[in-house]
Amino acid sequence: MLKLKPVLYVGILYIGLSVFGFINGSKANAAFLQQRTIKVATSVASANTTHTLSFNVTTTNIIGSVQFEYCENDPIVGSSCVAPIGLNSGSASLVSQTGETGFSISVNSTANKIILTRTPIPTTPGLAEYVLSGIINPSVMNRTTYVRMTTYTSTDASGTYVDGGGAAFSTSGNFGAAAYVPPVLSFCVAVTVSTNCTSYSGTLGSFGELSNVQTRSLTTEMAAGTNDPTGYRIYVIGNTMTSGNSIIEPLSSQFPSVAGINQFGINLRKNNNPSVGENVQGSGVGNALSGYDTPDQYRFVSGEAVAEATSASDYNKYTVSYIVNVTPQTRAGVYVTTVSYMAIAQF
Amino acid sequence: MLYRLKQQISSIWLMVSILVLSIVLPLFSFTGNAGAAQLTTRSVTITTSKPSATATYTYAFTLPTTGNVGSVSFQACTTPLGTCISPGGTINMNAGTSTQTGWSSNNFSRDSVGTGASGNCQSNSGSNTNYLCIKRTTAASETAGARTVVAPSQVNPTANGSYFIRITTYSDTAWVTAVDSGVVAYSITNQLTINARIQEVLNFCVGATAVDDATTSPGSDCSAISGSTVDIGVLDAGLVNTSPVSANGGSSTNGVAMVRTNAQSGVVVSYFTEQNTSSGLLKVAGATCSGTSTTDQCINAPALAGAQAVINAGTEAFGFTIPGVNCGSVTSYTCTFSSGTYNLQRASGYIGAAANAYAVTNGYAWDATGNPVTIASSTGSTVKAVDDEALILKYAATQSITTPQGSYTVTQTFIATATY
Repeated sequence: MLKLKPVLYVGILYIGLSVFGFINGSKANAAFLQQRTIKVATSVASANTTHTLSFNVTTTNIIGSVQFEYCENDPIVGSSCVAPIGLNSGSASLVSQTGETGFSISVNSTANKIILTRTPIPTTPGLAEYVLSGIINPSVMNRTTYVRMTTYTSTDASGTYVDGGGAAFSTSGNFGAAAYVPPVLSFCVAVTVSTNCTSYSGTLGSFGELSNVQTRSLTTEMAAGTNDPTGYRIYVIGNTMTSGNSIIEPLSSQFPSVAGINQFGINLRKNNNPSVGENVQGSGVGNALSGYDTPDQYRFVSGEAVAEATSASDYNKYTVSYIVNVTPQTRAGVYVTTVSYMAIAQF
Repeated sequence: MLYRLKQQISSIWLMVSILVLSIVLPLFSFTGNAGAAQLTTRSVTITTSKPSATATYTYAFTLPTTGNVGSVSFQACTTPLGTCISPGGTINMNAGTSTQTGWSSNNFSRDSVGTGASGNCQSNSGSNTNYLCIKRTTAASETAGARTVVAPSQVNPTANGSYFIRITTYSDTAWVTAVDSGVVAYSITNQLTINARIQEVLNFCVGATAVDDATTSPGSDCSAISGSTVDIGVLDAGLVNTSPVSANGGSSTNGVAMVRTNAQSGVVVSYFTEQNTSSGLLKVAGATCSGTSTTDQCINAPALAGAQAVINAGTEAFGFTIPGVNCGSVTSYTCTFSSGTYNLQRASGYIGAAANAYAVTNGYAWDATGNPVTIASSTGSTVKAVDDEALILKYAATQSITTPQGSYTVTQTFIATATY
C-alpha cells in the first residue's frame, strides 16, 4: 500500500530561552561582597569629611585593585553611573587600611571613583576596611548616595570584576535646637518665704505690747536671685514707727538695742540681744551690706541698700530682724509702719 | 483477437502503472518497512532541555494496529529520515530503567546491547548512546491504543538544536520485524535565566513634627518630612520646657528621624553635636563652656559623660530623649510601639520610659563631645529591615536662676549607617 509521509514529524517542542535582566560585565560566578558598609563622619551636605568603607571578603582570588564608585542613581555594579552632584573624592587620602592591605590610591581615580591599587596578590577571607579622608559630600540635602564596591585582578580596576556589591549613605541629618534665656531677677518679700521664692506668706508683723524694760522684736524674710552678671541690690524704704504725732526714733547709725530708750532699727543677722534673726541663707553670693550686717547692732535709714549680690547669684534668703524700744514716757498708742524692699538689677 | 487486445491493454496499463509508480515513487519518502503503520498521536516530553543535562524522556504514542509487540527501539538522529546521524556529544539514551503504561503487560526492559539479527536497534558502528532498546522476554499481543514509555536517566546532547527520535515497534523480541513506527522531535537549547536585583535601599531624614505619639504618622515617608529646628521657647527657672513647646516662642514641634532600609544586617542611627568653641552644649554662639558652671552662657547636660538623667526645674540642663518609635508610616509589616513590635530599637540612654510606654520618665541625655553616639539600631532585631519607622525626638531644658540671658542654640548631625 502506498503511503505518503511528510518529511518532518513534530512532537512536543521544548524551548528554552536565555535572557539576562541586567547587562553587566560580571562573571557568571562573581560573588557579593558581604557586610558592605559606608560610614560617613558627617552627613552634612558639601562637608569635607571622612568615609570609612568596609566589606567582607568571602572568596580567595588574586586582587590587584579595589574600586569605590559613587553614584546617585543606583548601586548596581555595571549599570551606568550618575555622579552625585557636588561629590568630590579627587583629593581623598587613604588614612588607614585593614584586612586586605598594601593599597594606595591610583592616579586613575576620578571625582566620583576611588581606585585602590597594589601588586596583585591572593586575598584572605575576612573584613577589609578603608578609611578615606578629604572627601567632599554631595551637595544635595536629604539625598541617598550609593557606593559600588568592586574588586579586580588588574591593578587599575579594568576588566571583569571579581566580587562586588553596593552600599548607601544619606546626606540628611543636620538639626538644630534653640531656646532663649531671659534676664531674670527673682525677688520676694513676706513674713516667711521659701528660698527660691516658690512660696511666701504673711504681710503683717506685730511687736505686741511695747515695753520700756524689754526690747520687742520680730522678723520678716526676703529672697533674691538673678542672672544679671553684675548682681542686684536690695533697698529698704519706709518710715519709723509712728502713732499720730508720736514717733519712735529710728536708729540713724548702728547701735545696740537698749531697753528704756526710743529705738527702731533693723539688721540682717542672727542676734543675741535680743535673740532674733538669722544669717543670710542659700547658695547664692548675696550678703548683708555694711550698716546692717553686724549682729546686735541695728540701724534704719530709708533708701539705704541693705543687701547685695555683686554677680549673678543663686537664691539667698535674708531674714530682717526688727527691734523696738520705748521710754517710760513714750505716749500710748498704736504705732505702725510700712516698710518696703526693692531689688534692682542692672542688665 | 479481442482477448489478445485486452491482454495488450492490460499490459499497457500495467506498464503505465509501473511507469507511473516509478515516476511517482521517488517523489515521496518512506520510513520504516513498506508494510509498517504509523504510530499516531506521538510525542516525547523531556524534563529539561538543558544541554548535557540528565532528563526523563516520556514517549507517548498510539499503536494503530493489533498484533504482537516484542521490542521497541528509540533512535535519536539529527534528521527524521534518511541515514541517522547521532546528535553526538554527551547524548546517552542507553541508560535507566524504563517504565511503561497502557501495554498489555508493562514488562519491557532495556537491553544495553540491543543487537538483533539485523542489528536493528544498535548502529553497525557499535555506538549505542543514541539508542534506547527495550524488549520483552516474550512478545505479547497488543491492541490498538495509547501507550507510554518513560525513560529516566537520559542524557541530553551537548549542542543546541532540534533532534528527532525514530520510534519503531517490533513483533519479535530482537528488533527484527518492524510493525509500526513514527518520529518525534525535541529541542535542546539554552535555559531561561531570569535576573532581578533588589537594590540597596537607605532613606533617612531628620526634621520637625507636631506629632507627639507613636501612632500618628509624621509623614508617609521622607519626602513628607521637613524642618530643621526645634525651638523650645523662653526658659524659666520654675519650669522644664519640654517639646513641643507652644508658648513663649516655642515652635510647637518635636524632632523626628525616619529610616527606611533593606540592609540585611540592619541600620544604626547615631548623632554627634557640632562643636562651637570646642563645645557641643546648648549655648550662646561663641561662649566658652565649662560643662558644670551655671553662670556661663551654656546649658549643661543633664548628667556628666552624656548619661541620662531627669531634668529638674531650676537646675540648668538641656537634653533630648526618644519617648517612642513611631509606627504611623509603616506599611509593610505590623509595627506597634506599645506592643514592642518594631525593628528600630532605641539605645540605652535614649529610652524615654520603660515597657514601651510613650513617656519621658527616664529623663534626658546629651553628649556634647562631638563624638558619634548611637541612639537607635535594628542590628539586634530579628527583622533588621526598617520601613519608615520614625524616632520621635523630645527636647527639654530649664535654666538656673543664674543662667545668663541670651539666645541659645546647638546643632546635631544625625547619621544612618546601613550594613548590607
